[in-house]
Amino acid sequence: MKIRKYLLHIVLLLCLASCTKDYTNPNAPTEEESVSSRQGLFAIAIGVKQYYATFGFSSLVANGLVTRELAATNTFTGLLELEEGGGALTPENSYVNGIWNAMNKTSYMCNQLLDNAEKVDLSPETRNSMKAYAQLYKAMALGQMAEFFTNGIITQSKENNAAFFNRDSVLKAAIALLENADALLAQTPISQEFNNAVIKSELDVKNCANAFLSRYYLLTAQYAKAITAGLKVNLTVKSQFVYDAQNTNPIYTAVYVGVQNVAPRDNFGLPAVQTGDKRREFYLEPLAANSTVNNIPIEKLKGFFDANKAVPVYLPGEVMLNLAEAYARSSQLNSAVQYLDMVRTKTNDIFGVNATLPPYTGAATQPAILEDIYYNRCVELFLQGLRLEDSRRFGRPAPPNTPDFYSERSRNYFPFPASERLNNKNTPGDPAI
Amino acid sequence: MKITTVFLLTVALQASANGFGQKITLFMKNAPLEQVFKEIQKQSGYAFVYFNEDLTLTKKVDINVQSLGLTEVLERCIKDQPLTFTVTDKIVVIRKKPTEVTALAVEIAPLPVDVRGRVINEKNEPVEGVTIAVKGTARATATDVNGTFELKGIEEGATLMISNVNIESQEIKLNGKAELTINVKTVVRSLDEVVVTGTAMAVSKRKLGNAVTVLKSDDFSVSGSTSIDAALAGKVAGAQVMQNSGDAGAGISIRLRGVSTIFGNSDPLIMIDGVIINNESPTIIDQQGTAQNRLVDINPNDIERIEVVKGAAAAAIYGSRANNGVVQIFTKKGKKGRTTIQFQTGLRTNFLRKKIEVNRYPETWVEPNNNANKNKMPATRYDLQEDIFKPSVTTDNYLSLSGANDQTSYFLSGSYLKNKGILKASDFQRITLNARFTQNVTPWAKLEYGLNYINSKSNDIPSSRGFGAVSGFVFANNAINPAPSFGVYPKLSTLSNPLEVIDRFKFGQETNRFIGNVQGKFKVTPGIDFTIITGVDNYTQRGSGYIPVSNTSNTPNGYALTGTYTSLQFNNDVLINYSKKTNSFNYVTTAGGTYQYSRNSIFRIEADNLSLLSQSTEGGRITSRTDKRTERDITGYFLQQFVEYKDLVNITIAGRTDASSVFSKDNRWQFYPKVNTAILLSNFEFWKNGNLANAIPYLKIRAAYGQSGNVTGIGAYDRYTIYNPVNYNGLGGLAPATQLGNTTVKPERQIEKEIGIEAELFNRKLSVEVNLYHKKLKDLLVERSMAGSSGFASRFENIGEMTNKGWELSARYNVLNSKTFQWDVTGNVSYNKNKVDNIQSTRIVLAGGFDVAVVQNSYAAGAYYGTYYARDEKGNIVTDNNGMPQRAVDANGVIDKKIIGDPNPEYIYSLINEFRIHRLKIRFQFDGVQGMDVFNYNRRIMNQSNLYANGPQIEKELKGELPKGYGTAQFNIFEEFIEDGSYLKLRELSVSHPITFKNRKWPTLNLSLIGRNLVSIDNYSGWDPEINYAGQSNAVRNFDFTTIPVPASVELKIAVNF
Repeated sequence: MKIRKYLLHIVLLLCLASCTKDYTNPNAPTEEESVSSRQGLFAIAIGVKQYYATFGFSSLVANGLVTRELAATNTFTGLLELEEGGGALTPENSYVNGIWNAMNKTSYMCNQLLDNAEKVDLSPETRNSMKAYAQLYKAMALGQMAEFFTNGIITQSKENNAAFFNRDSVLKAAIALLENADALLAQTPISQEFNNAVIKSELDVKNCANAFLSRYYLLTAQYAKAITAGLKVNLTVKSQFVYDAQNTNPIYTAVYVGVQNVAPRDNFGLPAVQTGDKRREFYLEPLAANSTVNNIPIEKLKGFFDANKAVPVYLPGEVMLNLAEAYARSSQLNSAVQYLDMVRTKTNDIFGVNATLPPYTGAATQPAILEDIYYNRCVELFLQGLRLEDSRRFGRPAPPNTPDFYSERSRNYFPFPASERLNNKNTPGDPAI
Repeated sequence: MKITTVFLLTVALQASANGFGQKITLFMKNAPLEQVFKEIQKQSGYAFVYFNEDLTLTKKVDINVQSLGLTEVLERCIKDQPLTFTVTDKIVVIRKKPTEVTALAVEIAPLPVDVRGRVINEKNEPVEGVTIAVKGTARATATDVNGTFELKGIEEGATLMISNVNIESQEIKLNGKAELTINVKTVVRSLDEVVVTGTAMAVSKRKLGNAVTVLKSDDFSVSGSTSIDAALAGKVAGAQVMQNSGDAGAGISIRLRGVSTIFGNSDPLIMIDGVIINNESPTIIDQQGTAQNRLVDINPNDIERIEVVKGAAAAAIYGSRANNGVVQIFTKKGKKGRTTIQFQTGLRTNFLRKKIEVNRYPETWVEPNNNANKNKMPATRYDLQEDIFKPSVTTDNYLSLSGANDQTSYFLSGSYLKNKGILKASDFQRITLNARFTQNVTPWAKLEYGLNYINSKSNDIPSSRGFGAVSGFVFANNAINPAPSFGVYPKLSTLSNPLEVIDRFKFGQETNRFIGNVQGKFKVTPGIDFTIITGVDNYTQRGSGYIPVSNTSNTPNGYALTGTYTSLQFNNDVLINYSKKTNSFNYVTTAGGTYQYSRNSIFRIEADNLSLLSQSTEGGRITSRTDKRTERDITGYFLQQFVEYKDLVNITIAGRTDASSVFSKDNRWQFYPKVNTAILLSNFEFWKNGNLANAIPYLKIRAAYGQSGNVTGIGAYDRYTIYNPVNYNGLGGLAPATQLGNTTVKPERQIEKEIGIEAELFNRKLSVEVNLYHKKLKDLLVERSMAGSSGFASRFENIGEMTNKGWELSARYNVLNSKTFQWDVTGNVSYNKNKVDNIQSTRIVLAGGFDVAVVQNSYAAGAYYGTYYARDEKGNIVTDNNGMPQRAVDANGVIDKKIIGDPNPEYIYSLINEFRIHRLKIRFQFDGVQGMDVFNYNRRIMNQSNLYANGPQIEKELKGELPKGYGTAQFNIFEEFIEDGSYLKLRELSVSHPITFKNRKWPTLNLSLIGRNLVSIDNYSGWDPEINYAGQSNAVRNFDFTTIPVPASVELKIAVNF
């Protein structure tokens, strides 16, 4: 009888033990939990900027390798394919995948903020702030997508069936988002609450929106609008991506941490740097060395690329050069030179990027001025992730089918990632090069 | 069973109808005594007890008595017969007269004597655990490890019955002797073993419907390895046992019948005495390829027996954890007899079996990067292997104490192992304390409890990557003197100077582990047994690393890390067995329930920019932090029915259902059926009576089918879409994980079919076992890729399929068996083919596999994928004008890649020869694999012409035998570095000899000289094809990259038995 009692106890114990099967994950909340509260949305907003500033920045390495700003100093296939370019760049390339995934994910996170901002308790100011902030980041992500790919995604889909739009439409969607953000902030500025909880004054959403508007209008050949937007940017306000011990500067990480991946090429990867251009010392330190695999002369990287150093969201010089270019392309050459000279002669840049060059003395023709604008963009905006877009827009030589390591760029656009093509039947054909 | 069949003790008890009448009337002529006794019994109501054989020598009697007393009648009956009798309590005991009793001594009762003896086998080795019973009494004892026994106060004319499953039973008449040496004959009868794993009840292997391998301590006691899993290599058909590195505490991978998951773990479920234990390989410190797996904590000396159950067909009752098979370890228990003390000590030296070639050319290029410039300058070349490897010494000491009486048995042991690695300054030490008790509480209740404490500690010299010693060698420019100058180590490459790694870097781990279990066994009623097993396995593993400020690594300002991993596993199992026998049928019904709970947590921080001389992260800048906790459980029930018809045919049907907390409610409960049958053809009458029985005295055919699951493919919370915590500029945020959740996932399911034949031939000298199996894994968890436009990179889905098809053949042959010479051969061969399908991705690139290890439809898991040589129609490598080999391109001129290798072996085989010449025992084991590729990444780096140029091929470039830069051209042609890793190794070689003394009070000694991994026959250009940079990774296999090679070793071992 006693034994049967034991038995009963044990069977009971087993049953009781088996009743608690739904353990809560103490390490991380689920998506449903995250998007359904104001704290959750604030946290996602912080996640957006952290994600974009770290993972999103791997694009700078890819951009740099393709446009010869950087040389690969490692045997990793992903890097060497970008350096080699042409047919060597495969749809499996980790950087191609990385950029595509990071931009889509940034956009996905922004969608979560935009979709749910109306569903939780927020003051109208904070709600506007959150939406403007999300629109800015989404626009930045779409802009990057358009830089590397002929077609992009505006709305992400978990069902693997997102629609593709050509890059012009993608850029226009980004413009619409930024215009919307600008309008929201005209109603109510960023709320104290949102600034304290999320932005921490690292960047100025309104200024950023206009700076990016000037960039995207320029890319879509809307020069007048580019000028209007550019003029609205307050160039004395810093907006930057900050880094700390846990989120180290991604370029610094790629260049210095562990096994070195990349190093800057001599002369910013240009044939020559104009005499007396002080930006060389700002960004580079002379080094008598060549890259290990393809034997390309390299320098030591300085600039914004120290472990914890912040990277500008946009440089004041870019806005000036956007203006110069918009004027030049709308044949207002004097205004163009005026803004070009602002960059050439700058000595008081808020980020310290000072060319300290004499004013422009070249021919007063549109091609000549654009040529100097291009040079200044290459140097002033070194490793800002703009050179591939610039190289195409300024009609620089397209790469041959089998580029050598010195052709100005090794690809025009990237192939679509293999995982996208495999899973999304809407994926367009890959560009030839 | 044996004892009762050897002698027939007839007890005739009768409830007499005649009451207790004492007067007996008999009239019998020429009657056998037996008949007379029966008649007396009828009339008197007295029971008679006698041995039948005692009566065989008696004469028939004529007797005519009328109403005589019992004693008088008996006296008349046995007058002139060699018998005596005693009458007590209505029982008449008839015994043989003591043979040496003289007439004078008749009145004196037989003198009790104390008998001591020793049981030895034909090899003059003591035989432990032999039952010595005194015939006709309840007196019995068993021999201890020295083979000795003692029986006090027995009749000097007694007969001893000697028996044990491993020897031929025999009887010995004492004839007054008090000191005996009993020679017994060993029988090879692997098929008579009793198996419990996978059956939940003890079943003779002869009756099993599926393949199970049983190993005994003899099989691995002279293996020369420090961990039990390494000792299994080559001993189990169908098992690939691979040591992944030569680190002092190196990890081991076991694959039973191939890899059986993509993202989970293919290592079998490990149980000790019925309790599931943890065999994880947590990597607290990123040692890069040399993570220890926690089976290293178990001391092989404590192990009595191992059962290896290979697949679903056998292991179905373990449900969701059985896909990879089960390895059950049984530890030693105390045995009846006097207290046994065993002391073992081993001294071992480990050494690098061979060095690899390095560039010895006394010149170097002036401009290595420029292939046009052929100018050279003088250089001194160094072989850094001489600086980083050195023969090492291992000491292993072990002491055990055991004993038992009728109620209690105990086994206590302690050990200390200090294993120094061949990589300078690395070591592994292990302290174990083990106690096991059994207690018969009442005739119907038995308790068993086991306690095991282990402390494992290692000094690890990191071997790979940025701050490793071996990577420092592989990447080193060997034209630079590596020795420090004025305290500063020169930089030899972008990686650390290996000499500095050894001298200055400090990495280590320590594990404190407690394994305990309590088991209760109860006989509820005749036929019903009830068992409860509760087990706990709890450990804390601490790791730390330190690179001092100012060094040649990539963290020149110092680096420190510290981490702790804690794991708790708890199991509770109940089993109820009901057995019933009828004339023709034997039924056993088993029901069981299990609850398994586990919890673990990891905490780890890393820092750089350390304060000078500070070895902790405290002064530094925190660069990484991990803090995670996980909980999960499994609840399961099973029901099994075994039916046997007359020892001829049996069938087992079982079903298991279980639920794991890892899956969502709707997919939680899973059902796994199994059925197997065995037909013992040789037991059928037609076989027994025919000629077949002479040729094949034992033949069984069997078939099995079973399903099982695997829950290791998915983490405790992987079904959710998770937002990971991030910290940015002082604010806590959330960002979605790259993996999209999927609440519809369920455990992977394996469906296995197996058929087998077991036979004994040539007078049972040869036993053979053949198995054919087909394992199909469906609902394979695949982390399928997602379109990036989903916002996620992957998602777990049960979409994949995998098959493992193969066969196994094992045989054991007793070639010769004489008193002075014995020769046994054991061998096995197995073949397995793995294939993956339906992954719904072009290919899955496996993490940690250099973008080379992939899973692709129609290929084996972990196949190598990469670039290959452009070849002309004749198959010759296409070269350009400079003589450089070219990579193959596709039709569009894009560099092409394809599957270029497979790390999964096709054939695994082994051959073990055991010789005994007088008392000298020689044993050698060859084992090998065939059809396995290895990626020689070391060679890829070393022969790269422009980088560090320390490979042997660079010599050819310098000599002009190959164009300058040839290695660089090869560098991106991965096909070049895939090598055939097939090998045949002399895995174990041992010579042992016992030393015994005339004086029994002296201990017996056994001396062994054991060699391990002494010879490898292979065509591999690296150190050893048996290696894996990815450690115990499931499918990323055979990467030879900066990993410490497995050493060869020679050990002198002395065992002393008191």
